[in-house]
Amino acid sequence: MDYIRLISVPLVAGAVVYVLWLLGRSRPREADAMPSGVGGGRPAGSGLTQMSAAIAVLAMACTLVLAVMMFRDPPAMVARANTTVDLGPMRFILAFRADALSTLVVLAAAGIAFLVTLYSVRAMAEHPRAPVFFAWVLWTVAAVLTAALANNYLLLVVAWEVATVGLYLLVSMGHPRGRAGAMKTFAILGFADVCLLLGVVMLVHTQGVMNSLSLIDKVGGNDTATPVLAVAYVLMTVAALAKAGAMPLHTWVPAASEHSPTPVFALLPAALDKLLGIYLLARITFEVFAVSAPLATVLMVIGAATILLAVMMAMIQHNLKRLLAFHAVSQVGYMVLGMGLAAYVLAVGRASPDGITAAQAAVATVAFCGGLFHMLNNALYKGCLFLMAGSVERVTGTMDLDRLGGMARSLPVTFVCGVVAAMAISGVPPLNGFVSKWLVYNGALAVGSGLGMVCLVVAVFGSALTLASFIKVLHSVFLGTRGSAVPEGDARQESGWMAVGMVVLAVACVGLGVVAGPAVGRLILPAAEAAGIPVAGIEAAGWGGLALRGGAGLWEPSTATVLILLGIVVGGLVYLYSRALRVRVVDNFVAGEDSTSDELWHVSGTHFYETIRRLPVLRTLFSDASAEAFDPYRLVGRYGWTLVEQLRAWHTGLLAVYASWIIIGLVVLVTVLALG
Amino acid sequence: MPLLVAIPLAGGFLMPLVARLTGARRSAAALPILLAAGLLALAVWLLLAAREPIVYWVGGWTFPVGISLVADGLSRLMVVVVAVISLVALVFSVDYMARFTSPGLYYTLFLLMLAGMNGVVLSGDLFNIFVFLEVAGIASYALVAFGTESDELEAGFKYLVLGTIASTFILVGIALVYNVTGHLNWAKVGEAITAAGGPTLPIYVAAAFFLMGFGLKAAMVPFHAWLPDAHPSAPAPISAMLSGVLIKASGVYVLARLVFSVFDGDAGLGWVLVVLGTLSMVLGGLMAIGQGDFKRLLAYSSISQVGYVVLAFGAAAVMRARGMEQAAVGLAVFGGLFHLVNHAVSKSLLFLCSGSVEYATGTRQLDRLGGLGGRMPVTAACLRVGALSISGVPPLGGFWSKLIIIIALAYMAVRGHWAFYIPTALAVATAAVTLVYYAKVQRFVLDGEPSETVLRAREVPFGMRAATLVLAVLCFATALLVVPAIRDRVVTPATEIVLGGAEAGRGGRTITVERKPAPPPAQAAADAPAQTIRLQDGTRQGETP
Repeated sequence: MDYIRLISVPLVAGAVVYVLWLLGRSRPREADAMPSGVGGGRPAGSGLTQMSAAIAVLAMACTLVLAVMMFRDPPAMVARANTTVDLGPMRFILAFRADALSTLVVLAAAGIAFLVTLYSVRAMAEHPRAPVFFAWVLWTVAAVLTAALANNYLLLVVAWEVATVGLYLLVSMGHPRGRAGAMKTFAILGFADVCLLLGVVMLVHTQGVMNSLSLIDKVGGNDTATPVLAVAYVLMTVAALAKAGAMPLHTWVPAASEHSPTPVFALLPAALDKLLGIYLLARITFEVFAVSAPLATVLMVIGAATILLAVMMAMIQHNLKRLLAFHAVSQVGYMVLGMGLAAYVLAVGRASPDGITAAQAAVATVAFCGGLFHMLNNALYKGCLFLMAGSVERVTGTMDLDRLGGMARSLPVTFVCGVVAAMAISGVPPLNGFVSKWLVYNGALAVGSGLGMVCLVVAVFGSALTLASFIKVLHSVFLGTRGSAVPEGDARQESGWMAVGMVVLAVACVGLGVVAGPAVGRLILPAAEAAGIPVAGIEAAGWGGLALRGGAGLWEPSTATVLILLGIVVGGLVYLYSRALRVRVVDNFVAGEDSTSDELWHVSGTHFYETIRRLPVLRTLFSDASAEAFDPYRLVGRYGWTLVEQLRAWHTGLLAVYASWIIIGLVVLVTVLALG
Repeated sequence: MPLLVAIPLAGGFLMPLVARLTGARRSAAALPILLAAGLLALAVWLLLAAREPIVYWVGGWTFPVGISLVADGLSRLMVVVVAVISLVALVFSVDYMARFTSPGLYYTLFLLMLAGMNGVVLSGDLFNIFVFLEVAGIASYALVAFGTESDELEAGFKYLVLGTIASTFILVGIALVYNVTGHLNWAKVGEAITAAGGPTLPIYVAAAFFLMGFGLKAAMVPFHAWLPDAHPSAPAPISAMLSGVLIKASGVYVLARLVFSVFDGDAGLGWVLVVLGTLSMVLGGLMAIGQGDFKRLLAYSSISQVGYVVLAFGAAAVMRARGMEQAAVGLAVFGGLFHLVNHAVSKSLLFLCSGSVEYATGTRQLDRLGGLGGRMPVTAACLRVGALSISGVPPLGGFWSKLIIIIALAYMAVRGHWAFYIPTALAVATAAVTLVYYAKVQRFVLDGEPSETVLRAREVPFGMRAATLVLAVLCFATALLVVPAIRDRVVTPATEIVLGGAEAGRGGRTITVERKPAPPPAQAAADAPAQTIRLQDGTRQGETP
């Protein structure tokens, strides 16, 4: 019952909002003779928008409370027999389970969804179809919760696809120019969804009567040494990675980012879709399948490649949302790398005659916890960064980094939250991003293979590039002289509704970093155990620290935090001292021009890394990548189109040709049937 | 039960009279709508009333000279589908056809086509299938060319020529079967073949002729070439009828009947259906991506979706011949029938929406449309529902039928024959392709900035909106067919007929014989060509000749 209650709250609220919209819309529309088009005119009724926003916030708050309750006290597994739909070899049944992994995902999803809804109250206020937006957000959240709690493969597939459709419809609610991005999103994710479907169907068919209810938890350890199971695993992994946005199926993330409404992007591709994708990856890799070492290696390579390549693409972007989207891709790499390392170690352990040793279990635990913790952390700081972008966009109306600048004065809260989130994503201690990356690094170090070392180097390097690219962002948006799109004056332009979401997320970033030990111990380790990892590694130690069980300390945030605070205090003293000295301040003139003029002396950060872009080999790679030469969607499109053109060329429209096809077909049929 | 054929046939002959009375006014539609509503009520009653097959001998004659009409689970399901789509298409026609002259002819042909389809799905013997096929076929040839523009006439002519080739071979096939077995009745032919220990060479040749003939009616690749010309050329409600039900009633239904009831699920024929279905599914889908004309895209999509249905039936035949579990075989058949229903509903909806779009904007070129979501909210919402349903998105009906087909195919691949991995993978890939070209439709028609043509567009009249809304609701409602209680009532009788093979096919017992001869179908067939000649005054209003 708990499950149904949790899921039906957003579901019903979404339906209520939608019905209200349908009822409320018809009156004003018939009243005015000139119906308002997309994006034009006043919203159909701003009272309606406010009411739907209120319902949405209330429903999300209820969902969050229920999610917390479920996390604290997970209900028992249920399979509601009266809902069975018998599909021969498979069953569709409302079966749920709440173990530590799914409740963690549910908790994170409900939390982020609540904050983003709060933020949307202001951000979507002017949208002509805001109630529809809220309805779809609520439905999508319901689908995500269902997918995370589902214990039946078909239920999982259905919820998974509903989440895709929700994303598609929400993205297409953005700017009209975003329709190509919306279509690309739907095409790639739709492909991934049918992959998931096929993988699930193949898996269940091989399990046969043992799993006649198609329960996910029923049979584990399907060895991917069997070709059928390996294919099933690969198909399901494709779905998980595409949803999470890992390479090479990541290209929908930047495409969808540019013109979709900012809350949509902060909610789905940046947070909920990642949670869902990594959740599925963890489930299938450790619980459902016993992944073989080669497949785990592929996972590691995908993770490492995603980290590096995506962050390099992020560095050269000029559009803030697109840049953040590439970071959203890059961060997935850490999660996939963590999971891949853990799977690799376990596979090596299983293959050896004496099974998985304690040391191997410890390495796997560390790497897995790193990946999973990173999933949680990423949802927090990436959500915060997107909300920051949305806040900037509300004031300036643009996301073009060349036209922004000097906004720290008018948006101080946004600036501080942005700095915290940027530090967190770059892995600066003592913030949360550092802890999870640190765990992944430890895993890569201890995995004991050359590839692990390569992955480690790539991951650390990627982290450095992330920091580099965020220095560019912070400079271009908040520092320097005023950009051309920034309104005059230093008046505060913060919106209270929008600030709440950012502040909460930023505080969470700091909090999870400083008290990493209890956070990992309470949130991540039970989830790792639930996912099927032989937990033997880390435990909370000391004041917020982490230690290998019975071994050396992994990370001690208390000392580090004290030292960092000390550094900040010293820096502040130096700053105050310099302010205390009397310095003569005069206006600057360069070549007879006033150097404070914004137009002349605006230095945008977008060219910080031009040198890297122009390096001999990288230059061609970057220009190819920017032209989407490596985009599978584009490649399939191009070659597919050639095929389609060929087929079209055969359809000449000549009756004689068509008649001859029929005759040839008939001859073939007669021959086959008569001889066969 | 004979009323199902007699009502539209009689209506067809009454229609010119009524049209004379009403003139070109909209009230001309009253009679066909009333008749179609009556048919729907009758068909639903038939579906829900009895479970045993009902056999009616026309004129009271029995074997060997009598003509039998048989309503078993499969026929009843088809009759309901035909009636629903016809009623909605007629309601849509009221406003849509106001732009054309001579509504009397239009409704006459419509009712004749309806009579033909009902006749095909109810007839108990091969020759009458042929007769009714021709009734439906000739009416549809004329309807395709109804606009009498050069494109439409060309499309109608191609359709006529290719359709006639198909009919000829069907007739030759029937002659062959009669020559070998001495029977025309489904059940008797099936018995004769079983008694002879399986099909012999001439029977296989006849089977090849049937596959080609009915394959052409069902637009299987490589016999599909008429469809992408014919379906877009017809007026939108007729496109909806052609794509929604005609290709199924006169193509897929007969193929299923032949393969299962007459040839007892012969494995060879099953494999042929699998190959034809896979080819149609893939090539139709690929061709659909490349289309810039809205209705042409939908037409190719019909080829692809009917491919799914045929593939499912073929797989069921192969699985049954290999002795796989009844549950899995039944699932394949159920998936095929379910997809047939879903496709009928959603494709009719899409064609009607394309008609609305053309009505409002005057174009069906995708690149000249855009941003309709803001201008025509009801049509846009219906179009979205139809597109999502056919692309297989939960919780709409299309998702479940595609899911079931894929489950059944994968089961065959994993547990049965390895070669099934190919159609399974292709079915999944085509599902993604379908999603892509319907994403394209949504992208170019619904989303984006309104183009110049769209800015002038206004929402279509109430009748057209109502028709599309009904079908959009049905897109959701068909998902309920997956619920066991409803499935057992509606689809399972049909599944059992297909599954039972030759024994469960035709035959059955003779029940009350009514002295009410239906009008001789041959006469209808003879009358229809005469009407095609009179069609020439069917020019559109508002266009100077």
